[in-house]
Amino acid sequence: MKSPDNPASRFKWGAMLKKYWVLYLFIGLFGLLSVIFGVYPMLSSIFYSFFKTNTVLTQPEFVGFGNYIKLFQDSYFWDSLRVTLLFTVISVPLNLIAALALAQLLNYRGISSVARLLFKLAVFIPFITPDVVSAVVWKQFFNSNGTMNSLLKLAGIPPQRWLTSGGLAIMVLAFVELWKHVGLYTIIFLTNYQLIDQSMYEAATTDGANGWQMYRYITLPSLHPALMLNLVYAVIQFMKTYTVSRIITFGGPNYATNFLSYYAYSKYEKMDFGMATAIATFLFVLIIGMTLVGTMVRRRLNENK
Amino acid sequence: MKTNKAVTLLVYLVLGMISFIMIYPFLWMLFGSFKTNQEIIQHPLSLFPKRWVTSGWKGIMILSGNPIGHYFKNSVIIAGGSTLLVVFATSLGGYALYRKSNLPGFSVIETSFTLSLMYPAVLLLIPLYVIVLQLKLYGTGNYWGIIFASSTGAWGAALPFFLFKNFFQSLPYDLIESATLDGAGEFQLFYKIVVPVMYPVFTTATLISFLSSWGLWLPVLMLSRDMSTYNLAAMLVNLNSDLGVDLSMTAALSTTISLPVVLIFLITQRKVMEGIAAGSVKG
Repeated sequence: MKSPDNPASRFKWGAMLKKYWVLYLFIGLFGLLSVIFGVYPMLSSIFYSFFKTNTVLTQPEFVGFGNYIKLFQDSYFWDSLRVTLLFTVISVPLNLIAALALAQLLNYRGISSVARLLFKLAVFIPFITPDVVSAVVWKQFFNSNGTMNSLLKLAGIPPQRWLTSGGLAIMVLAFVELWKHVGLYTIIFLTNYQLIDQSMYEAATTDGANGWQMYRYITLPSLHPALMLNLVYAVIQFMKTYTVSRIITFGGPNYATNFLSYYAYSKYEKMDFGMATAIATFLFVLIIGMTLVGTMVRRRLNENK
Repeated sequence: MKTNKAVTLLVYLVLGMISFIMIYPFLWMLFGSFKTNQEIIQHPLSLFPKRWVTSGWKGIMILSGNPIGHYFKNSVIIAGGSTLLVVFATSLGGYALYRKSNLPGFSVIETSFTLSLMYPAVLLLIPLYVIVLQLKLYGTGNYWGIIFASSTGAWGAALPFFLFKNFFQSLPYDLIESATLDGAGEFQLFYKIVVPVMYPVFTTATLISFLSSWGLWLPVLMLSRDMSTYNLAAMLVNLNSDLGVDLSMTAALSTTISLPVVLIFLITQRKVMEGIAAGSVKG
């Protein structure tokens, strides 16, 4: 937008502000929130990670990459990174496959519309429930003498140490997170279902395609946009997992669920802000990196088509 | 397409079982709140109370010396305040970005917002604490720090923002162009043309924002000086960290926290589910 009587760009700001002051007024609050409470704390968090800070408000001491070097020498950090990646590698496919299956079932024509709505509500309700509530309740279910072990007893299986053995604890958290989030991924798939051209199925039926072939060659490729979207969401979601390990396992047993977010938070609680923010920044860079790689792979795939 | 009776039955069965697992925790907390602690521990598989008692409910009437109404009021203030702020900021901001995205400074704001979605929200709270302290938004009975922090992209503002962005992008641009030719100013344009068609998406954004901010606890715990600004969810975290966990009180408090959001969701389910899907698809 260049106006003829004001070609010099240094006048642009003033001219634009004068002409569109209403729009600047409109964006004001959003800008204030995004900058002061969004990007500024983010940048200062990255900034802190280069300082030795025991208290943020007193004089901080610049240590360069010191916190990062300390971090990379810390075996608990590598362990924490390992369990975070493990949890993500378990949870992402688990959630996406479960959501894909649920969406297909909910889309089945044989069920009545009332039943379909009730099933949909049941699947989605955990997503709107506050995360602390679901974590607290599931924690009781998996306690040594809780619901799960009573169920096993009924089936004649010896009780399991759900929350006190490392391998099982991470599975329990993956299950609780599945219960909580699968509804969102399912709804996003279902929205995508509505966009599929129904005449493709009719044509395929006349050509004699069976149910599986139609699913494989029509439904799945049509769900590609929702799949990509859910994949990105799920990776970001599970890399940042925090609440369940804070409420259910406290990072244990023996650091088996000491996810990066939780580990950074525990550093923060010990007033080790430099290390806490270094872990947070590391996680941030990791997430951005994964998102970028995802976008690049997707672009490459689209080119090859 | 033909449907097979046996397959239909199987689909009903599988979906019924999954739905039961999804709903069971809610039934457990509701009925558990009317049981004694002993009954919850000794009979983990029975759902209905053998003897209905209200000791759990009586127990949560006073939490850490304050009546439960105090925490309920704080939940309403924090969720309500943050909802108002989020809806106000994202609707006007989203509109301004749609109307003239190339104005100086606008892209900086949008990029700032998108970037802050990626940073682990939990750890954004460390610098936020410092900012809130410096801006004097921290102290006994001061909700502002909590409300501002909860209204950013890291917590509640992401979905409403994308919801509005999608909606504005779907508006026919001719509608706006013809009004500018008629000589309408920017303010008139917004008020007369955009606001009247904005109501449905406005309601959806309000609902989603309220549902997501009702259960916030981490910003509340970290940005509160004391219990004067604790909400129900923060108290549940507190109750849970106590050494001797009182199960019937936990069940009663969980029910109290869940009931409002579950009821609001059931009444407005269509709007909420469609809205969340629509807001996510662009995110």
